[in-house]
Amino acid sequence: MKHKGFPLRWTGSERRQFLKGILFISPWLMGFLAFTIYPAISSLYYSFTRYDVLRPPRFIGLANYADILFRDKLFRVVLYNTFYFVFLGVPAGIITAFLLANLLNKNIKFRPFFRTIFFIPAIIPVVASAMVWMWIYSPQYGLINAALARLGIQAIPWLSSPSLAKLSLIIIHCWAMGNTLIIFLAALQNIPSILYDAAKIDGANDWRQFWNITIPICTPAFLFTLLTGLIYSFQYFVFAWILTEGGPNDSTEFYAVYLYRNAFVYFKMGYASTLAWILFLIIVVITLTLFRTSGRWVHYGGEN
Amino acid sequence: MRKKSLSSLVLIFLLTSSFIFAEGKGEEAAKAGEPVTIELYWPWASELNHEAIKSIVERFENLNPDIKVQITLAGGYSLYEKLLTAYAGGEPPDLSAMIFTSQFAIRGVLRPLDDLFDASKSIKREDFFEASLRQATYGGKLYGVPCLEHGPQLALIGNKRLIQEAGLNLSDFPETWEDVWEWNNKLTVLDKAGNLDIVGYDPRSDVGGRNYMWEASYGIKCYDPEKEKYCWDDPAWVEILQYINRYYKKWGPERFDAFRKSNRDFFSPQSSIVTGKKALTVNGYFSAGKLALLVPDEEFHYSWIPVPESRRGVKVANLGCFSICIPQGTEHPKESFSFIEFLLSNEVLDITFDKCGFITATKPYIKHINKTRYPGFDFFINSLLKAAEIYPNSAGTDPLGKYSWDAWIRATEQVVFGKKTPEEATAELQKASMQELNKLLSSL
Repeated sequence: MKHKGFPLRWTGSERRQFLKGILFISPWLMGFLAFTIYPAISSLYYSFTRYDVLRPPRFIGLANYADILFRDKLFRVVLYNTFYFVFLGVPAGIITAFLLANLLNKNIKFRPFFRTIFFIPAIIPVVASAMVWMWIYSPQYGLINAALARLGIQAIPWLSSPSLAKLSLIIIHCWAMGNTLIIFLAALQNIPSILYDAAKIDGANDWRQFWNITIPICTPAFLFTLLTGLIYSFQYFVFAWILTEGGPNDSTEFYAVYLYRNAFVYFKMGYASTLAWILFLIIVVITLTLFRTSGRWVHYGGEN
Repeated sequence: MRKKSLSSLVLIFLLTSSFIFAEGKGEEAAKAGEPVTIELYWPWASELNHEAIKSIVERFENLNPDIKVQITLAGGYSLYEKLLTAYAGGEPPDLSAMIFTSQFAIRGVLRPLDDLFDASKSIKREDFFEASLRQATYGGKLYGVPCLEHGPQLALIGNKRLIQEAGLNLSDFPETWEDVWEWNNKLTVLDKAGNLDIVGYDPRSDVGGRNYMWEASYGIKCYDPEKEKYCWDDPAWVEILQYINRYYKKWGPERFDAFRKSNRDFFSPQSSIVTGKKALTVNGYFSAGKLALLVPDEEFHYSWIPVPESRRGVKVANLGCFSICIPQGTEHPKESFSFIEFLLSNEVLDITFDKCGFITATKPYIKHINKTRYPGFDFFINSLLKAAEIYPNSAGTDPLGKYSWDAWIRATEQVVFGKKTPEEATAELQKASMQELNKLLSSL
């Protein structure tokens, strides 16, 4: 039955159906209202207050926004670090996952074993991974630098150099691309083999097939992983907090780290709420831009 | 049928909403004759200390059958995050360990303890060093009782073997920061690959990296509670940053920082003083026991922390760490305070020292304690009796709490990585700290 207009024009039966539906989803709806909508609206309110959690919030208007956007010098550093990680780390991670997926899609020996190996980082608890990487990157005892020391080469300060620390975290990010790899693997397996057969008949070599068939057909997967990767990377926290705590010299002070510090270490929940809403706006703008431009480069199956 | 399914759905709806919107299970008022339960947030999360905590609680409950003690463990900074959450939920504990006392006291969420303290028959103000009480004082009122772990935090510790191997003499053990610099140059060793293999002294590690160590050494403050003003504009802080920067300039900031990241601080088994990779360090009384247990074959020398040349010969000590505070609004302040009194009994202080290696340095207890228990431990205890100046841990007196710790680390890193000069870093530190303080004071 097609609904025409909102409840006022509905028949009694339609209205009952609607209410039944609402009641069916009421457990989820209650949780959504209580644990998502209510905190979001509260944090929007707190962003206009001075609030330290220990005392009631005090309304201060746009002061937090003005402080962050025009006076907080560290905020600019934080934004730079975050954009650096997002615009370098996300493409690096996606390209790594895509290339690995291509390799794992081939008929190679022990393929299931390799697929498992590359997926495992995605299921290891993040904190455990961070501890392992702390050891790998250790300047004195780490896997890489110990080998370098044996060759008489000075240790690489992976996490101790402001210019290398972000790159070191991006390497870890690429290592943990198991979920993205699975998505690309699924996309690759959905490519009809007749396209490759036809391309071969037309004389296309491997590179041309890859460039003209594989990549275009995987563009929906690219869009999805780009979107999810962007949203995740803007909120990058755990590895930065455990491995570097924002250092050295604020080079890994990412947005989420800065937000957390203001909220729970400095008791500036109002300020942190403002940071959260500014981040939300940044992510919305970038996501919308991505959606709007996606029509030009994303090819969906069945299109003319 | 339709009515039945609709009724079932309404029932599901009501049950779900009652589950989500039901009030939390707060403590019900104790009925007459039932024991009162008090909750303490305890900062030792390590399992090694659980047995000690359990035996202390059992003894207290045996002596006080009308009081039950519930311990919630929260190690490190998670203690404050837990407290914040508890306050937000409207259910703070009855007691909490605290270092950053003023950060909470200034916001009016701690109960002043002067009335309970002065009425106590078992503990007296005269039993405590003035520095201990100062750490837990804000606005002239006492908000915490030094307890659980509160001891002397400053000694210059040297690895005798490394000192001997470098051709240095213990009789010339450093007294000033220039002495330390000279010793550092002789003690530091590079490996074949050019990495720092052994470091003489790292001015940013262990307690030596904390701003309160520099306050004691130079006789300065980072925050003046009486004037309610930060003092980062004191020229001494510029001198301190210049001194720290010397080490980083000589060895390279990335190389030096890499060394510190390889070796943990504060006596984990991987820390550089334990593994013999660092010759000198500044650390607290707990180091004597830790080093004796972790590296029994090594010998260490303990002495006064270095001072600037202008203060040569001045012996300084510091006293601090945890106090126990009572949040505002607790229903059982007297029962809570009675547990604090019990924690300060010699019996309990002996248990925490024997089983956990931590002390509360009250005047009576340092007379009672076995100073020769670990090599070097006697230096720390005697330092409280012989020091010309004893400083509190200023983390307790600073209303911005950990903000100042982090700001100091940030300023130091900006200097050692060449982003700012010491003058620029201290000027910005002063400006930022005063801005934060003014925002806080205007919200009171």
